[in-house]
Order: sequence, then structure tokens, then C-alpha cells
Amino acid sequence: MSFADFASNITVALDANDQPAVQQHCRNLQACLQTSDEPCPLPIAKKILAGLRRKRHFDAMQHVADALLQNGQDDPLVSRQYAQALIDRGLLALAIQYLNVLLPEVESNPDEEAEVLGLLGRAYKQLFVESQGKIARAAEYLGMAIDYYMQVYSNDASNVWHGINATALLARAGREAVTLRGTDRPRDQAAEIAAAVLEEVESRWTAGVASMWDSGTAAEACIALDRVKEAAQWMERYVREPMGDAFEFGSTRRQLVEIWQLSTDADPGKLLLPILDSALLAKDGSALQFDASGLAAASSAETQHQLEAILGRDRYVSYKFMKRALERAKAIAQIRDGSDVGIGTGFLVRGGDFAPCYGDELLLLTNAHVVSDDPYVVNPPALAPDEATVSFGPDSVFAVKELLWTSPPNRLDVSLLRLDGEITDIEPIPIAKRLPLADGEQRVYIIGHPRGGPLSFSIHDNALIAHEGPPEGRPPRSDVIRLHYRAPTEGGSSGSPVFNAQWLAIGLHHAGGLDMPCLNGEQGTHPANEGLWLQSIRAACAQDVT
Amino acid sequence: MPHVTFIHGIANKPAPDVLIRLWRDSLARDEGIDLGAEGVTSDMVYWADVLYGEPKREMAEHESNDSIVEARDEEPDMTWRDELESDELLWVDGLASKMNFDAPPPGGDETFTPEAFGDSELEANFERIPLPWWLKRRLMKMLLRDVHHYLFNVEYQAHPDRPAVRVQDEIRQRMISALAQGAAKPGPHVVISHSMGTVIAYDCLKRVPDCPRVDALMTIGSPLGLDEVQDKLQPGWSREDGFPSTTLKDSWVNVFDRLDVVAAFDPEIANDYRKRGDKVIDDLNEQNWGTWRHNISNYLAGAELRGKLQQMLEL
Repeated sequence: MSFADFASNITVALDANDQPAVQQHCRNLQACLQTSDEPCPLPIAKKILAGLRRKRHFDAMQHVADALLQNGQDDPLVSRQYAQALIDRGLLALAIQYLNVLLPEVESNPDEEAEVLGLLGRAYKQLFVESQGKIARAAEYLGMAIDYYMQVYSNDASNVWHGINATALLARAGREAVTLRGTDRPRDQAAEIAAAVLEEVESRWTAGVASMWDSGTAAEACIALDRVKEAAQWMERYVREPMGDAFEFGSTRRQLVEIWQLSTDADPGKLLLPILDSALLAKDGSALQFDASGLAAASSAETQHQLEAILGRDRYVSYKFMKRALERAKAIAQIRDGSDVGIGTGFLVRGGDFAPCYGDELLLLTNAHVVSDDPYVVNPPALAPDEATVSFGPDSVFAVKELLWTSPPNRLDVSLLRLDGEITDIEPIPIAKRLPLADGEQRVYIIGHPRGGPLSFSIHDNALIAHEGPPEGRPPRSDVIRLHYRAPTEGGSSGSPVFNAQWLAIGLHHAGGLDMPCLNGEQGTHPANEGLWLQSIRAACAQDVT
Repeated sequence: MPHVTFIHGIANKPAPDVLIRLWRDSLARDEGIDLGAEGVTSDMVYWADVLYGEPKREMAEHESNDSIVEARDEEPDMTWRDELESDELLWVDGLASKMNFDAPPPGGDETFTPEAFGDSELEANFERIPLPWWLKRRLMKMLLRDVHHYLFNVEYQAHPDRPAVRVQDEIRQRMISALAQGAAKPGPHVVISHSMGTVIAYDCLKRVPDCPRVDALMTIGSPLGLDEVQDKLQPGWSREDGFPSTTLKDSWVNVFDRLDVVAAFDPEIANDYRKRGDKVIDDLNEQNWGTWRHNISNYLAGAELRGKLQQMLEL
């Protein structure tokens, strides 16, 4: 197998977010590099490392870079990526030592030198963050980080990334009255650099050569200059780029929270962070989780009004995506046992959507393996209806009055419940008529109560992998249509609704694992979660209940 | 399962995968029609590389506001006009004259921008469209060049590493291939075209023998109302029976904004493409917004456009 083949395999696995395959291909490449006299061509090495970095496979990136160096591919870029991986894995002291060894080697290459100095700045910035300001050395770390960034920026003011990092750290030093070598007015210096950085990005923008990162940089510069409205506009430009992914947006979010100390409770964070959060929610590939209560705080009426006014009609819509998610979340409940331990999730539906006789009555849908009156449902054992408590929040807890209809776990794994009490101010979750394309590009979203904890949104790698629905599905049983997706779920998510990208429910989540048998008669297994198509549940219910 | 074939308009574009994502996203935004989520397949007839060497950078902002507005340093090369002769020269000069292409700006000021005015006063009048003169001129350069090269089937080499091709032959072949793929799906099959893409879609449906059938056509921000364009769509086009009846099964919806500089010359086309004498095209005046009224992203966000498309796709 050639190095190009390894690169191709790794790229395919990265694009598919197939983590086990990425790790396996990287191990194979490592073994090849360690036993080959032929150095890996630099463009291939560069492509592999960039791909691993982009998808945040830092462990694999470190090991591949190490093997490349052993293999004789010692281009400064490989060494720098190795240091990058060390930083991202939290091996900060080692990274700093390695970068200091590397620095003299890149002296004659100004671009590489700027990169190495930037990484040193980043390593010290991270040391400062990790110290949480609790140790005497924190101020020293802050000063070192600023010095490294400034060393690059002072030489060439087109290095706006270094400039904006220096700005953020100088502003932080100013807020915390940290004494720095070389400046006694860090806030003023931060503002001066921010103004220059903003001017540089604006000129790039006018010339049509600004990159996505430039927009994020301009947003930070506006924060430093206290120009919140412009910061929101640049931030929206940044998140709107189609090539930006959740990892990059997550990294920007960390910078805003950890260095700029923004929060959703106060300006300007309550305006800027929701723009990033809503973009994150719409992107796949992120390991982030949102706590519903945090999202609710960020979506106050005041924030919504401000954002709409600043961003205008066509820019505000990505934020509305998050708002819609919050509305759906209100109809999702935790199901608890007699000891008040959360064991599953359920969601409100309009009864008439499942059997006409229920009309507009709000009913709760969950898995039969969560609530059932069938004594043979034992693995795992289901709660009997009278043992279950249904909680939409501390002030909205219901008992189950009646189990109306159920289908066992080995068929549709569903129970339709009538709750004891009147449910007010909650809209039922609407059901999609059709399934999304099974082209690997569609995303699904799960809202549930993983690990019995608070309501949360999981957005890690949320691709719809396959389904057995029309027109091309080949289900073993025509009345049981399954979906496979990679949205992560943990115990407690059973009974969660599976949403399409328009926040219409398409499925009822019920199972998952690393080796789920593939659908549609395909051989083999894959890591996936499984849900049942709500339209097949609806058809079965409508047939049974008259 | 419904299928959509998109075809883009004038000026350079981002790479094909980015461009189709931008179109799909624009259609889905603000609780619109998410084709993938609705189980609708879609494809893009990409032809920017026939006339442009390299795709534009992946800047969503530039596509949505259009690079024409943002990048003042990208003036199209118009030296090709110097080599034209006889009828071709007359045709180009005639269209350039209609577009006010060669007219100096009022007062010699390239930044001259007419005052905006209320819709009630609005007539199709190029001078009154509130865009800076230089911007209108740049757009007209692109329109003139792209339309000319297509309609006159110019041999053109967009990039030194790629062979020269006949522009119309190459783009037609791509369009027909995409239409054949769409026709192989269960349907309905809808073509959504923008700007110069509307001319290409019409040309193929009406004038290419054995063109696959489609169920519905949507033209957006179209220059099909221009007499000069219609003249070059002959044989095939006639005012009384210009509707492509043999290849277009159902409806044709034409969407425009009167302040869209490309469509503004004659935005309503039902009268120009009749079906055996009857006006059957649904001309839809949907207000776009912002400075750049030719913007496809804004068009695809239109509520009426989306309503029509939902009907076409039978969603």
C-alpha cells in the first residue's frame, strides 16, 4: 500500500467521522512508516496531519507525526504539527521544550518561525488558563504568551492571528491588573492593536481576500474595542462560512469564554455566544453538549430582540434554529422510577397523529423497554405504568394514568401513555411525513436525558447513516422501519425523539452499540444508534387502536 | 422521490460542492424547504468553469451578496468585443446599448447612485435602479460576455491547463446529462434556474433534440424577456408558441424583483413564451431585499417562491 493510499483511507474515514477506522488506518500508517526506508512525501504527510488536526484526532496526530519524524520526514512543518498535537493533548511542558529546540532550526524561514513562536504563545496561554490564576506563575505565563505573540506581530502586522491573541491577553492582563514587563497600560495597548487588526481585516474584506478566520479575528477585535454590534456582525459572518466546522467554532468559543471571560449572563457574551452556539447546533462533528438551561438563558427575549435588530432579517435565521430546538425541548420529559432515578426519556405527541380517536389529546411516547405492562419485558426490565413518574421540570411532574398502546421491544419498542393531570403551555412535537435522504449528508438531532441527567442536546457526529424507508429501503419486516445514525446517546436516552434538520420528529430512539448489524441486507456491523420510524409506529397504532 | 436540478447564473462561482450547499442552505434557511430532510435529491449543473479559470474562494458572504458587489478589483476582460464583426457585432452593440453599457455615468461620476424610490413608482428602468454606476456596469459586462459566449457558441479556453471548448456545446451537454439523471428518478423532477441559467435551461428544453422531459421549471431573475436573447433562441422560440410543451410537463413559474438589474429590462415573460397562444407562465413578483436584488440566496428565501416550489415537488 502506498503512502497516498494511506492518506486516502484516512481522509475517507475522517470525512465519515468513523473514529475506529481513523485509528486503525493511522496505526497501519505508523507501522509502515517505522519499517520503511522511503520517506513519506511532504504533501501527503501535510494532508494527513492537517486532516487529523481539523477533526481533532490529536492522539493519532501525535503518533503519526512521531512516526513521520522517525521515518526521516523531518520537514519543519511535521515538527511543528507534532508540537501542535502535544499542546492539544495538554502536554504543555513537553511542547514548550520541543518548540524551543525547534526555534533555532526555523530561524531562516520567517513563515515557519512565526508559526513556532505562535505555538509557544499558545502553549503559555494554555498554561495561564490551566492555572486559573491561582498560582504566582500565572502572571509569568501570561506575560510569556504576550511576548511570543507580540514578537511575531511586531515584525509583521499582517499576522493578525498573533495580533489578536496578544490583544486578548493584554486586555485580560488589564482587567486583572497583572503587572507585565514592557507595558504599564495593557488595556490601551490592546485597543491599539485591535484597531490595527480590524483595519487590516476590513481591507482584506473589501478586496475579497478575507478568510473565514479573519472574520473571527475581526469579531475579537471589536470585542476589545467595545464595539459589540460590529462584533456580532463579524461573528455571524464567521459562523456562516460553509467550510467552518463545529471544532473551529468550539475553539473560538473557548477563546471567548476562557480568555475574554464572556458568559451568557452578561453583555457582550449574551449576544455573541448564542451566535456561536446556534452555529454549533447546526454543525456536525462536535463533541459539545448543551445544557438546556444554559440555552434557555441565552435565548431570552431581550437577546433575541437585539440579535434580530443587529443581524437583520437574513442573518438572524441561524439563531432561530436554536430557538426552535428549545421549543421542542419543552415537550420532552424524563421518566423516573420509584426511587426518583431517571431511566429514560419520553415526549409529548398529539394523540390524533397516531390514532384518530385520540384527537388533540396530548399523549406521551416512549420505549416499551422503558415503560410497559408486559411482564415479559425483562431485558432490560421496564417500569410498570404505575411505577413511572414523568417530569418536564421541577414544577411539572406527572404520574402515568394509563398505558394506551404498546408494541414489544423486538418489534416497534414503543408505549403510548396517557398522563394523570392537565398539561398546559406545551406544544406537542410535530411528526415528519417523510424520512430524510439516506445519502450520509443528512443530520439528525437527539434531545434527551442521558445518564439520567438534565435535558441536553447532543450534537456529536450526528449523521443519518442509513434507513429502511422508501424508496430504496429493504426492511426485513415491512411494518418495522429502522433508522441508523451516529448522534451519540448514552443510557437514559431511550425514548428520545430523533429530529430531522427542521426539528420535525422522524424517529423514536431505542438502541445503539459499536457493532449494530447493518440495515437493508448489507453484511457486517457498524457503530450506530437505532431508532424506529415514527410513521411505521403511527401506522401500527392506527391499525390496532380504533 | 422528488428531484431538483439547479443551474446557476452569470459570474464566477465557488467550487461545485460549496455552491450547491449554499443553494440548498438558502432554500432551507428560516424554516424553509430542507431538500435533504424532505427526502428530495438535488444536483447542480455547474458551468462557471467553462468561462472562468478558478472557482471563487469558499466565501458564503461573497456568494450571497455576490462578488460583483464586494470585489471592485475583478473587472471582466471585454477585449473580445474588439474582434467581433457583422451581425455578431450588431447584436452585442444592440444589447450593450439597451443595457446602457457604453453610456457614461451622469456627470461622469462612476459612483453615481440613483435615489431609491417607492415600489408604486417603479417601472422597468435601468437608470433608476439604485446601484452605483460602476457596479451596474460590471454586472452588465458579465451578463453581456456570458450570454454572448453561450448564445454564439464561442470557442473559449478558461484555463491554460484545460482544452478550449465550444461554450454552448459544453454547457448544453452538462445540462442534458443532469436532466437525464433527474428523469431516471421517480419524480417529480423540477428545474430551478437563475439568471443566465434560465437561458440555458430554456435553450435545452426548447431547442435540444431529445432533451429529457421535466415536470416543472422555475426561472429566477431571468433575462429571457430581452428581445436580443429571444432572437438568438430561434429557431425554436416564437412569441406565440415559445413554451417548451414537449419537454415541460407541468408548470413554469418565473420569479423576479423589479429592482433586479438582470430581470429588470422585461421581467414578466408570460406574454413572450405562450403555449399555443395562451399565457400559461406564472410570473411572480417577489420582493427581494438589500442592495443586490439579483441575489439568489434572497430569492430562495422568498415565501411565495417556496410555496410554489412545494407545490411543484408535491411536498
